[in-house]
Amino acid sequence: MFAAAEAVRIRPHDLLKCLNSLLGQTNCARCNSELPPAVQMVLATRCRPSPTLSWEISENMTKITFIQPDGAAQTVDAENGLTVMEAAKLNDIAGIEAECGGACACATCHVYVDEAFRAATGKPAAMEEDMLDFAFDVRDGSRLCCQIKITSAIDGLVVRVPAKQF
Amino acid sequence: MSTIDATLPSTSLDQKFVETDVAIIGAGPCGLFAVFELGLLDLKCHVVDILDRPGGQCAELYPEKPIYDVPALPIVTGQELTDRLLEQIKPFNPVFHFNERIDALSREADGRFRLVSDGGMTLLAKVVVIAAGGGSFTPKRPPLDGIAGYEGSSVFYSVRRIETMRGHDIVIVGGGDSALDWTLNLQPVAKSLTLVHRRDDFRAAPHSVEKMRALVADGKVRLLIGQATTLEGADGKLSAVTIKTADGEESVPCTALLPFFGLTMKLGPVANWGLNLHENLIPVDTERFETSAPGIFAIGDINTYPGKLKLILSGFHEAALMAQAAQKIVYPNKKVVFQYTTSSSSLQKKLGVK
Repeated sequence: MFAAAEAVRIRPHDLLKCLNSLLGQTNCARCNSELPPAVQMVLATRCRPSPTLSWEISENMTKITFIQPDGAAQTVDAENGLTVMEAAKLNDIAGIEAECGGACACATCHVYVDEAFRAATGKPAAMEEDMLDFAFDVRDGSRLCCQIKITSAIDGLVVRVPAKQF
Repeated sequence: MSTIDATLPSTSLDQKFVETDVAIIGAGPCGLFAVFELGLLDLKCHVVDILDRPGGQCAELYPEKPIYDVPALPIVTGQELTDRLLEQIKPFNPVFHFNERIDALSREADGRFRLVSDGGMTLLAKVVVIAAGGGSFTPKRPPLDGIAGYEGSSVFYSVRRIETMRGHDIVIVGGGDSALDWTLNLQPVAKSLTLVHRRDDFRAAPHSVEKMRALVADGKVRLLIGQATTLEGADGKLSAVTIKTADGEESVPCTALLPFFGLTMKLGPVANWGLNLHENLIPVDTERFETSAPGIFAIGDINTYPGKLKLILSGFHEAALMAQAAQKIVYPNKKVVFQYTTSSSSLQKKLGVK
């Protein structure tokens, strides 16, 4: 952010104030033309209030969308470093049991990773493959989400929750 | 994952009738440590567990996984913890009854408790300690529509006698030791045997997998890579199972289905003994950890009280206090003298360290 402020030759504090006033905006306040999508996204999704500065880009949060069997979708902000299962539990996502608490010992945090994110999330390790033997209706993209670590590389992750956990 | 095989002998050499001071239900870490605390007070214990070995959740779910919150052990695996506890309780010679689940619990006229297991064993004890953790480990039931209606008649999670499988079209689902062992054991008596697994990679012991592959090569066993989707049959008798493979769906003739999907914990018969329950947990007081029935105690994950934490260390504390209360029941006239293992010659003698 400081580099950006320097690049446009205003003080970081002023840049922040300026961005603050743009929070949640989709159009330019002066000429009403639509702001570029990238800017809109930053203003809408990356804002997080902080006690010291009114506006702060959160660089260590990642968006994850959970889709239920009936199609209902919930999108949550999850902190990098947590597992997808932990994010599900923190946000009370239905259908993910995680009976063993994330130890890769039960297969009840089974999810289907959307095709677009399979490369980024990677394939299960041997221990997870062994436990997937105990999941029901295992398909391409099946993962135990206690084994998927959240990083910005998987930002926007979409997973589908199965109809039942075994 | 282990199979529950009732044909294996229990370490009590198939004793059918036993009398003891304390019957401990559950051989997990809390049940094991209870033997120590009770032993220091001269109380003899018999320990019953549905698994085929001690350790409970630690041995079944976490044997290789590190635990970081056992006091004095910065890091210890589930199996190590079990082994250390077994060493600690050795001086008290507990008797273990594995592959048994206590089904019935009642009180005799003389105030003692009668416990009857699903294997037909009867235990008489003055005190009962329920250290059942998350519940009995029972085989996971595949969520196939209607499967419950076939259990016991066409769907089996273990086999007591191989002869009962003779002449059947058998389908075995799984990739671990249970699935492979039963494939090898039942092939000689089966009319047909199909092994189904979701991938062509097996967790079972390599030499079992080799033998299976040899049987497949000889045309004696059929290996299908896929997953079961539906059951066909009527009146509790299965006739076919639909297996979805990469090539599509196939209806495989089947009169006996053996699914091996691992174990899960179920409260089980504990729910039927007339004890107060709160959300499948047994409420206890925090002075004695006694249940609503005098003489029956509950320690470890199975109990609940204000502030309860499901930690191994909590179960250890609960065992210590429970033992004091148990002693008063078994030896009501004994003078209670609190002693320390560091200084008491009589305790050290019991432990065999002096």
